[in-house]
Amino acid sequence: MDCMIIKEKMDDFMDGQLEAACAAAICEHIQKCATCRKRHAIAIRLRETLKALPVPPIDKVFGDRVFRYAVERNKPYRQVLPYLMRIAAAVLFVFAFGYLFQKTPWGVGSGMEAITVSMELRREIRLLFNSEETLANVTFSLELPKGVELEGFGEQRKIVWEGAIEKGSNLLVLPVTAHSLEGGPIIAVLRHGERSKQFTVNVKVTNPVYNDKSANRPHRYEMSIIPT
Amino acid sequence: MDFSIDEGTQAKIYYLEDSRKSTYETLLRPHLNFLFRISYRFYGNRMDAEDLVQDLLVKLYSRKEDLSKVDKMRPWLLRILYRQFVDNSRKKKRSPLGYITRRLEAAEPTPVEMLPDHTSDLEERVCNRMVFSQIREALGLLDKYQRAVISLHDMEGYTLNELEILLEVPLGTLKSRLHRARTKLRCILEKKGTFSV
Ligand SMILES: [Zn+2]
Repeated sequence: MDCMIIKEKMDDFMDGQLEAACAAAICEHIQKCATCRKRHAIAIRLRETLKALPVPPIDKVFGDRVFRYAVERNKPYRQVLPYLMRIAAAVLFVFAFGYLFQKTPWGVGSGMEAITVSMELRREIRLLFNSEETLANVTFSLELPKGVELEGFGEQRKIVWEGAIEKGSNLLVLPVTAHSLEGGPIIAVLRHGERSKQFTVNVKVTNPVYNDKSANRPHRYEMSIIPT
Repeated sequence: MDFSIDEGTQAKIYYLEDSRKSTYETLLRPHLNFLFRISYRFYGNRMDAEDLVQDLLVKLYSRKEDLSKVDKMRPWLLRILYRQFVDNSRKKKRSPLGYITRRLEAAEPTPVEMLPDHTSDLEERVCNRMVFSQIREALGLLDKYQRAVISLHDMEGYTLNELEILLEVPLGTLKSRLHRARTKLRCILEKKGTFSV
């Protein structure tokens, strides 16, 4: 049998798709011909290697990122601001709230903190809190003033969900956009069993000021805990 | 007390969408690893694989009402992922050279750690890494249809009969794509001396 024919039939031969006589002829040829033997060996190695070709694990944050992106991309366009402007406006507001659910008595805080956001500019409010222990079944509830929307929740004013808190630092990311100048308090309550903590952030809305650098400065507050 | 969350903070991050548990995400999230895995097979690099999954999920969001009606999610997803792959490649018209260059630029280390234990011998690992890298380059020289069939048949282990149904592509077409793909790969690797001892 000709080497070129064997080259052509190599796959069918390996897949057992050839008639017995033909397969036997190829077998016999391969034993005698070094070129075809090598070719056959390469074909075997190729199949093995393709099967063993590794796939790296998925990036841990990719999942969260891609689902948020998909939701965001499918939203009807309400912002008139150019895309780059919106990126620049994604300032981080950091609130640090001491230890959550501390066993010691809760102190009464200095009252509400205030933040100023520009109308129609998306802002991320980030709440960072610590927990001494891992807690399952924590109820989070969030109340938003009229005109302030939480990304992905449209005009929903009250959002309640269940989740777990891990020991150590926990970060809650709230992307908000104000659609009116009214503003008002954002009230976040975390409840675990009989215990609960409430955080209040007063939102003041201003007309969009595109070049105001001070509006882009990250804020960081230390807030004491106000028990409910 | 100073909190910095930008870098280095090991915080569990909650996004509000988590709580929303939309049908869309609830239905698709369990298949995310699968989608990434197959996409990675198609492209051989993380960047393009993630792009493909992202494009698919954006598209599916607009059809989210249909999702709950899908009987068997995985085969259905595989079919539309395949179509999205073919479609994306058509749009991008990336040259094989571009494919390789981008992959190298992305500098994703070959995950040798993932190899089975019996390849723990260092020399063998290095050798494997070279072979993998040469095979990935050779795969980059196949056309998208050949790459898809090699990915699904030779890497993922689907049979041609399964693929005929899954991808809705005639068996004869699949056979000839596979045949051409393998022949081309063998030729490239033969020339390179990839498997020569
Ligand atoms: Zn021969």
